[in-house]
Formats: sequence, C-alpha cells, structure tokens
Amino acid sequence: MNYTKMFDIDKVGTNNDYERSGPARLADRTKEPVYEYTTEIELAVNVALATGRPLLVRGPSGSGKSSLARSIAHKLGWRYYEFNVTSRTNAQDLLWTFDSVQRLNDAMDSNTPMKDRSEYLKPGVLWWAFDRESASKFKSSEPFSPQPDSVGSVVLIDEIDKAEPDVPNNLLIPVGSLWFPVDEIDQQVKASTEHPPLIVITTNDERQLPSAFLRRCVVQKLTAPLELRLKAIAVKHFGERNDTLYEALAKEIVEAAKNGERPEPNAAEFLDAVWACISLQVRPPKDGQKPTEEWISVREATLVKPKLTSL
Amino acid sequence: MSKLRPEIHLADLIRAFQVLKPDDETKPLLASMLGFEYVGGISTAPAPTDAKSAKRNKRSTQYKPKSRSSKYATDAAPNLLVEVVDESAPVKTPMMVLPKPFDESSEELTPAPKFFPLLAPIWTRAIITKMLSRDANYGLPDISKIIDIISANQPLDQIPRQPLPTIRNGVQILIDNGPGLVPFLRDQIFFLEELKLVVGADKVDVWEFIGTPLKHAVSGREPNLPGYRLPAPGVPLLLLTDLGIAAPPFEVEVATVDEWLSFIQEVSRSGHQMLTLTPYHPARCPAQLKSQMAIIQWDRGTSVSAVLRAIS
Repeated sequence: MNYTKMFDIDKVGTNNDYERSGPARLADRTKEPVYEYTTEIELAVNVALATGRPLLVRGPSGSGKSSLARSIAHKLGWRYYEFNVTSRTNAQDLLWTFDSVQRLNDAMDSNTPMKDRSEYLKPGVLWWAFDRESASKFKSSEPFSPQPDSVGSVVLIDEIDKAEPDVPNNLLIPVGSLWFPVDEIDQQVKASTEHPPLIVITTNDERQLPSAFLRRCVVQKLTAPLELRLKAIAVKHFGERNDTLYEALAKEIVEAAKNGERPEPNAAEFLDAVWACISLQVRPPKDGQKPTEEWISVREATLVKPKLTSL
Repeated sequence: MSKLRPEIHLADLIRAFQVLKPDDETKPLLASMLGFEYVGGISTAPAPTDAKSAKRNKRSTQYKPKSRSSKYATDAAPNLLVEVVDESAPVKTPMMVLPKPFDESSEELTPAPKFFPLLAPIWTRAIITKMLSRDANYGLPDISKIIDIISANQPLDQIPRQPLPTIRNGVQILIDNGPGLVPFLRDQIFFLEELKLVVGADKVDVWEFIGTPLKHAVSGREPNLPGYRLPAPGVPLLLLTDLGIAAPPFEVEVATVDEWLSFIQEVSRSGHQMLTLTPYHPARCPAQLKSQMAIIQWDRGTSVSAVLRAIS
C-alpha cells in the first residue's frame, strides 16, 4: 500500500510523523465552528428565537444536530453551554447540584467551622444560561463559553432521549418558562425577558419523548444528507481544493447506503473519510480505473464498516 | 408568575409571523415547525343556493367578532388556518355512507377496520414505564438513613442513596403466538412498537412462544438459539399471553397449569421479576397462577394505578 503514514511500525518514538501531521482536526473549540445550514434549519432557528420556544432537533446520529447549537451561538455572538445527557442524568443536574456528601464530611470534622449551604452548591448549565450574574457568585467555574461577555446564551441539551422517560417532563418548567426555584437556598433563577436564552435540544429518536414536552418545542428534523449537501459540507470544512475527492466519497457513501451496505449517509463519517484521505494522501480512482487498495481500505474503515455479528 | 408556560398555540404562530414576516412560500414550512398545518389561500364559502342556507350564512357571519377580520387581515395573518366550512354543501351523516355491495370479481381489498389499541394511547407510555421501572440506588443521599447510622455511632463507610426508578435495564418481552391471542395480533404488534419507543429498541429482547416459553420459543435477536434463555440479571420479563384461557377446545399447543407453574418457578429461581399482560380479566385466570404471578389486564380501562396494584 502506498500512502503518507502518520503511524509507521518501522519507526519508534519521535520519528513517527504523527506529531508533524498532528491531530489538527480534533475538536478544537477555540476555532470557529463550521456548519452548513439549509434554509429550513435557518428558519427553524428563527422561529425558535421569535417564539422563545426551545428548538428540538431530531435526526440520525452524525447529521449535525449537536454542532448546530455551537454554530448558532457563534453566529449570534452569544455565550454557549452544553450538557450531554446520559442514562443517569436527572433533570436537576441541568439546574444545579448540591454536594451533600462534602457537607456531611465537613460537618463531621469538629475542627472545621460550618460553612454556609451555598458553599456546596454548583450551578448547572441552565442556571448559567438564565442568569450568569447569580451563578457566578458560587464557588464553581463557568462551563465552556467562548463569548463570556454576551448577554444572550445558547444551551445545548444533547441526546435527551438517553435519559429516563421522566426527565423531559421534569424539565418542562425550566425549559418552557425559563425559570426555576433553588430549594437549597430558597432562591429563584429567572432568565432575562429581554434576552431569553435559546435552548437547543437534540434527540436521536431512540425513545419517544413525552407529548407534553414535544408540544412546547419548535421541531426541526434533520435528514440524511445526499451527495450535493455532503459535498457542500466538505467544502465548508476543508475548502474547495479537493473537489474530486469530495465528489467521489459522497458518491461512495450514498451508493453504499443504497446497496444496503450501511445505514443512511452520515456527515460525520463522511468527514472522517475525507480527512483520512487528505491526511494519508489517498486519492480517488480516476474514471474507468480500478480503485486502489488504500481507497478500498479507507472506504471500508470509514464508510461501510462491515457489520459486527454476535459471536 | 405562572409556573408552566402553555403548549405551543396560535399566539406562537402569530408571533413568529409578525417577527419573521415570512413570504407565502415560507409560511407553510414555518407553520409546520410549530405543529400547524397551513392551508394557504383565502377560501371563501360558495354563494348560497337556497334561501335557507343564505339565512344560515348570514347568521353565522353576524356572530364573528368585528375586530377579528380587520385585525388578522394582514400579510402576517394566520386566519387561513381556520377551517372554512362550506355550509351550502349537503350535510354528511353516517347514514349516508353506505358500504359497497360485495363483488366477488372485484380485486379491490376492503380496508382494515380502524385500529383501537387495547391500552388507552394517552396512558400507554406511563403504563409501560411503571411496569418496567426498577429502583436503582443512585439518587440523592438518603439523609434519614445517614442520620440513623450516625446516631447509632456506626461508621458511614458508604453513602446510602435514595432509590430512583429506572428502565435502563431494558426488558425481555415474551409474546404468545398461540391461538387464543390471534384476535389480538395487531395489539401485540402495536404494543411492541410502543415498548420500543419508550424503552429503546436496542433494549427490548423479543421472544415469541407457543404454549409456554419453555415449550416452543424463538428469539427475535438470535432465531437459531435452540431454546428459551432467561435475560441478564436485573432485566424484567413481560409476558403477553392469555395463559391458555381463550384457547379453542382440543387445542394441543395449549400449556397446562403445571407447565406454566414450572416456568414461573424457573423465573423466580433466577430472581427475575415478571409481569403478565393478558387481554382477559385476571379473574378468569387459573387460581394457582393468580397467586404465583402479577397479572395485569390488558384493556382500555387499565391505568397506572392498576399496574401498581398488580405489582404490589
């Protein structure tokens, strides 16, 4: 096989080219987020902003749901917060957490004077988004926010369908009314009516969301991208210089989906394939020519991914 | 301050139209994002053909608030979403919808009757969640237990936590394919789909059986398995069966009470929790089975409290 190796088994230590070629595209959050908008996505964001409703983004994984929120925050020049939902997430985790264990530990230490309850409280992403001023009074650092001085904010609640079925219902008041009480310190957190935050919620549709929750959201479904959109996405990320490569890979992924070799085309995997080809200098087959061994390997590893069967 | 903002309603649409001022091409898309169907075009009722309908139209116009027509008659007006009823058209009553006479030569298939699932759709999600929820100890610290331990001068080597109900363990669903369940085939399919939507398709282990799962069972995931296998520890079992109540006489595939009892014993030995959904009233189930398993009636009147009663 002939390609530019980033990892070479014949070299040891610093001789490997990984350092030089670098993990350049690993999520570098200081860089400007790249997003290929459609007119529908742009309209959905506008409708959510106009109505002050949360934007629920549905779609298969890799269709650009999560990266949308960060891009919106960047374009609006607003603060950005994100929360990745897991199966253990409680609704309160997004509002605040209270370290009862530390408080108990401190209480049992007779040499330490009792601290105020607020010392054990840590504001969650929605608190930071609703009222940054009150959140910053607590001893906890602000979550990631590239536009710290902005009055507006965008919150991403990623993959809400991973949580227990009650979690979306428990978020109805804070997400719907942009307000919540903090029982531990008898305080209310309210979002500014002049600059309400934009809440972007994503779901893979693995589980159905409660209808009361759905009826309070502006819903935008992202569909699997086809050849033209995939090419446009690649141009946004990598520039126009590798046009033929984008076209060839877009064609490969769409045809693989049509042939049943893989699920619907997915922008994330397509970008991985483009990046692999650019980094390793793997070129697409020319018209009428047989694809090279490297091309087939990259296609298998990034686009087709032969199915794992249970043993 | 109102605690909960209401669901999306017409005011949201009006607000979006006022702020974004969409063109005619964009209006339907915008409306659909808020859950509305934009009909488009100003429909007007046709001119009345007789004096009676003319009078009726006149009367209905008089009831319209005056300000309404002028207020909404702008570019951003969503009044096009209001259904325009053609009052001059003949009134359709169910009596007028006559079934087509049977025609043997016709290849047109009679449409299936409208499907009404056994469980009330509005409660299905809550019922499924309640049936499959199991407590996991990862909630907030249990203060009362902590106080008990400290008061007893015991070391607090582990923080006791409040139980939180979870369905993350998934479920193994056992679907009876016996003759007694044939009338409920669509209900079984519908219920399975609902179950996958609530629990997540990857966490639903489907088995189909005839008699009892120990007699003839096939796994949906691995059809080549030689026989029934209990799920991983902690995964609850859900049986969709009639327990042989509705089987036709002389049906050989129907399981006996003893066969059911041996299956129940195997499940309880393994420590799994099992619930049975049956389309018949539990009173009709054999007494020996009723005392050994939690049986819930699978019917329109089944509620979350019925599930709680059965579990308890």
